[in-house]
Amino acid sequence: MNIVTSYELRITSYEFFNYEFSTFNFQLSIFNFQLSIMKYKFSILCILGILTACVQKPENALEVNSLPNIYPDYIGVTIPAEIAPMNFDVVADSAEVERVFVVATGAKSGMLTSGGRYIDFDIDDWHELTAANVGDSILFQVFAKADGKWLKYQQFSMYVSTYALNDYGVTYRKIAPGFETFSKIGIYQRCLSTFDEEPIIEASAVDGQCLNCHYANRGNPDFLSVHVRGAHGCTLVRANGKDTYLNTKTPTTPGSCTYGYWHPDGKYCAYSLNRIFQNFYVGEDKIIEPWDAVSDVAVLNVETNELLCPSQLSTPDFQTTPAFSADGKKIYFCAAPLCRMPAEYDKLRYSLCSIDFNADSATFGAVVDTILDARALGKSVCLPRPSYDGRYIMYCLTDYGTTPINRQESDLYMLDLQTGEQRLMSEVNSVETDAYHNWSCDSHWFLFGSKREDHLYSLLYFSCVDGNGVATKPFLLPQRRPLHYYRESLYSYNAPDFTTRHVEINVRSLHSRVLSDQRIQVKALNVD
Amino acid sequence: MKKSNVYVCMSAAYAIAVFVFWLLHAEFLSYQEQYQLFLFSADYAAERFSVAGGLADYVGEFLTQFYILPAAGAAIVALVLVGLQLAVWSLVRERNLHTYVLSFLPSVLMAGYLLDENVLLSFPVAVTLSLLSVKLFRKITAGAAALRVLFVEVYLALYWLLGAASVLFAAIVIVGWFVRVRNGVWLMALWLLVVALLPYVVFGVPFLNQYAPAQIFAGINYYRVPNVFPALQWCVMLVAFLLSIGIDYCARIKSARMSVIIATCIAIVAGIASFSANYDADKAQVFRFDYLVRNQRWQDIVDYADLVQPRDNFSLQCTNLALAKLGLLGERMFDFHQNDIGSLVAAYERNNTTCLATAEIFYHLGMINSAFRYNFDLQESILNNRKSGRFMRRMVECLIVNHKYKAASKYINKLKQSLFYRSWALRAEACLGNDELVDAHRIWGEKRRLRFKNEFLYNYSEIEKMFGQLAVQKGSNNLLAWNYFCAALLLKGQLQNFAGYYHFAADKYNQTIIPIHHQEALAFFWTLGHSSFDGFPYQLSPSLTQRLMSFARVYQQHPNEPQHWRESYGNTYWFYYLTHNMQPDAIGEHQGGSEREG
Repeated sequence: MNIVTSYELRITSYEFFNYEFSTFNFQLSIFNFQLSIMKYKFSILCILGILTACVQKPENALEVNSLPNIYPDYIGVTIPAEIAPMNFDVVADSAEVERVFVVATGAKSGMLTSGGRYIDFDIDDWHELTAANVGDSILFQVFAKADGKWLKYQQFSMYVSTYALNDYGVTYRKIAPGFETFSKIGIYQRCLSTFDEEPIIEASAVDGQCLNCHYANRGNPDFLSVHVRGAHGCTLVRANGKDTYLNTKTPTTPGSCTYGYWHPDGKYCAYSLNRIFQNFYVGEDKIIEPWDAVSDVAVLNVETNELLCPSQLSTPDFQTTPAFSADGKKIYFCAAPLCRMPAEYDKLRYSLCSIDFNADSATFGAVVDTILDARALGKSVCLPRPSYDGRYIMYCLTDYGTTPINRQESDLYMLDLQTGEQRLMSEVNSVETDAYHNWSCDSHWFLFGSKREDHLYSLLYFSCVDGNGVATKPFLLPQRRPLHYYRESLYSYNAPDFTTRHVEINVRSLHSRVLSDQRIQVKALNVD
Repeated sequence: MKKSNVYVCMSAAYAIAVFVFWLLHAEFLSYQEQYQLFLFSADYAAERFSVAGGLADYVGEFLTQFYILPAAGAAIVALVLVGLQLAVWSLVRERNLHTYVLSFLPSVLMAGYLLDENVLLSFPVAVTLSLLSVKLFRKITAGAAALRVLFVEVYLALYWLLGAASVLFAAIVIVGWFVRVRNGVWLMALWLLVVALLPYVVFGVPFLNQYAPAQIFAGINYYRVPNVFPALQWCVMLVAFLLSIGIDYCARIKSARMSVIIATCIAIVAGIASFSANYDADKAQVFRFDYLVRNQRWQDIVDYADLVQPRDNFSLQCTNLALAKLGLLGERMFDFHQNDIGSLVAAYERNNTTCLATAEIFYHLGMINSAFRYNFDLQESILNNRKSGRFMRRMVECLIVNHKYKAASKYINKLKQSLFYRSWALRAEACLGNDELVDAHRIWGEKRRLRFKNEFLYNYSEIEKMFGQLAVQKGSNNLLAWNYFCAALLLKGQLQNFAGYYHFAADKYNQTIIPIHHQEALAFFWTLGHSSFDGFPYQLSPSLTQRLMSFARVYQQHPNEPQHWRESYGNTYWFYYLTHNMQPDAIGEHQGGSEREG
């Protein structure tokens, strides 16, 4: 209790700040006003602290023989030292929680407290604490006041990984998990060390047209691919920071460039060329079933705007979601034999395949190798994502189909390319959809989308992979006021990826270029 | 009568006229209300105020939520329009009767403009507040002219609060400054140019770079469709501007009586022009049907359909649903024109209106996933990215029926922050996680029993089979689905299937008295393969047999001239069947799914 008393001035200030201003902070970030407010935060806190004489502190706390029920569930998670404060709410089973208070103590050194309606650590203090405890744990002692009484829960830990998270942040599309239409939609970036989120492009900037999947080269925003769909549709390809607006539909290819993946040297981007349809379920659990009427894989030379279409990957069968290997010498992709769609939708299962690629000569290997055979698995392989260190491929397995985010049974699997061993990542999966995974630039962290919260909305989770390929308990993307934020949000996090730097796009220029309809037509070349 | 009393009477009469009109057209109010969901939350306010025009938008949506009560909605429209008239009047210095009449002009134009279903209340609110700001600014600076230096700051603040309509404030103030200055025209023009560009320069890049430049100049949230700026929006603002600066000159016209007459004529002509430019009778009919369906006024729908004899699929879907809910689908559906299967259930269209009726039909039938999908998409197709209390409520119902309590809780949380959906949301919240309570719920429990028991893909081209499955699946007694199944087979001309399934399932639904259109179809199908009714397995009404015979005679005499059969047999299934050139058991075009932009 001595600890509590020594921090009482600060607690009071935080309480007030959390409660009164946090909702505004969230929105004010839109204007970038937040920075200016933060500048005065210290002064505001001091004034409020002086003005507020009455302090609520955990007194005569009743010890509870259980862990606190916190949201998000951060108990026992492993975090990078660079991550934003892991703020949380305490959710009581019965009575409403009036106040919470937490003491975070580093196993090596440092201590931090926070209190109020929810836990909101100071960003700088938090980073000081995590930096001081890399490779060890932080112990959280939580107090909660409910029905006028303070309860003291069992302590829990978070582990600070020795693996740094060297990426600046994450990019994702926020979209309502709808069916045929969308309202507000945009591609956003979020700094992982703070709570700052800002739009890269919103649909309103391109006359409400749909913004589709976006791809950077291993998180490097100097190499970027963004699809705009609709009347002024195009593909924005940024290579070495130079933007070109392409028309990727050609008379000889089955569809526009869709799912993309950059070659490590940035000269090529592999795409699947899909015509995607979707049907909808009528029963209770399943919702939507997208499927390809046709899909091939091709490689775009972003310097010449030539689309290399190897005959091995332009067959009547389905080939989709390509990804270059870490060394750029292979293209992994998913392939399935042609079947009658949508009648045989539940028989469509994709295998994980690969084909050699020579970036110097822009040639493909003659043979397609099957790495994971769908017939043997009895499952469908989706979204292969090789780690950038060349050690693993992470992918989804579903009962059938090609878009795991729409399948409740989708789970993450990992294939060890050194041992050939594949395994279910039970340490991160849930009973709901787990998909849309991507690696951090040094391949020690990965993120993925999961609908574990409510079956409908996909949220972002992070996990660390150790030297043995074992992942840690995933944690939800931190927010300043997480319970409030996620409860109020009506968006799914779609196609997330890490970004090594802040993404810069001149929205005004993009607006005029998209509406101008001036496009560079890609040229399809049949190659072997 | 004192002049001031005359003014009051004129405004009151105008308000009453507007009130009565909107009360009689509650469907327009309902339509507006269902495309926004005002929430009493800091997040909601912050979201509105984070965009230019936020105050106007916030006030507009706050007022629009009351449209759910027709009388309150009509009163609000009346007050807003009278408020606009009084705001114009507040800028008049030389006051007399004909200037008072002229002060109605922008309001009258606005009254017609509001009949455009996409015009948001934020626009009249913004225009009114901009005009009142002029008055206030003049009043303040009259006492302290030095405060005029704050003009730019005030204008920019107003721009952020009211949006592009604040240019009215700037333009009127500037013209007021320079109009009496000799050789001040060029300076005035320069100032006007500056105020026109200033919002873009100040706010365009740092705060509004995700909006098209045109929206920054013309308003982001005055019209539901982004980047569309109807001429009448400019017209209302221009007239308000011209009146505000020129009405004092009108006041000097000597011939008072003539000028009152001219002013009145101008106001009336403006009103008629604006009204006729924006009132669309077909749309009004669609909104009326939707309003009645939303309020489940089934008998009123049938009465209205009798009156207007609808021919569009939206109205026909509503009519057919009402008939089905009243147990009259098999008796009366061909009393109304039917286009095709789309008159029963229309194919999906990506917009925010045409699926309203289909979404309701799916819910009533127990096609819960489809109802959820349609309501979700309806909400997502609201073009200014607002949410909807109506659709969200229906989504919650679907999620509860489907045991998806966590997702339902998300939407319930939103609805709890509203005024008119809060009490419902609290009641729904009490059911979350409690299957017994839901099973015992009069509507949700029934929907759980009626919905599909197995999982398969929705296919519009085979919608009749889906109705059939709902009707005959084990453990459910879905009379509505049975009626829809029969109606779908008839509309698709699948007489053989109809006769076969009728025999199979009629017992289940205890149809001892066969509805007249079913009799018509069964008898007609029988005649295609038999020369007499000997052995016909159903009991036909004697009059129907005679009618069929006489129809056959007329048809044989004029086989390709439906006008000869229409008068006497236009309300029979035979007429529908033969005028749609159907072949027995015609199969609809296969639809494999909707294409998506990957």
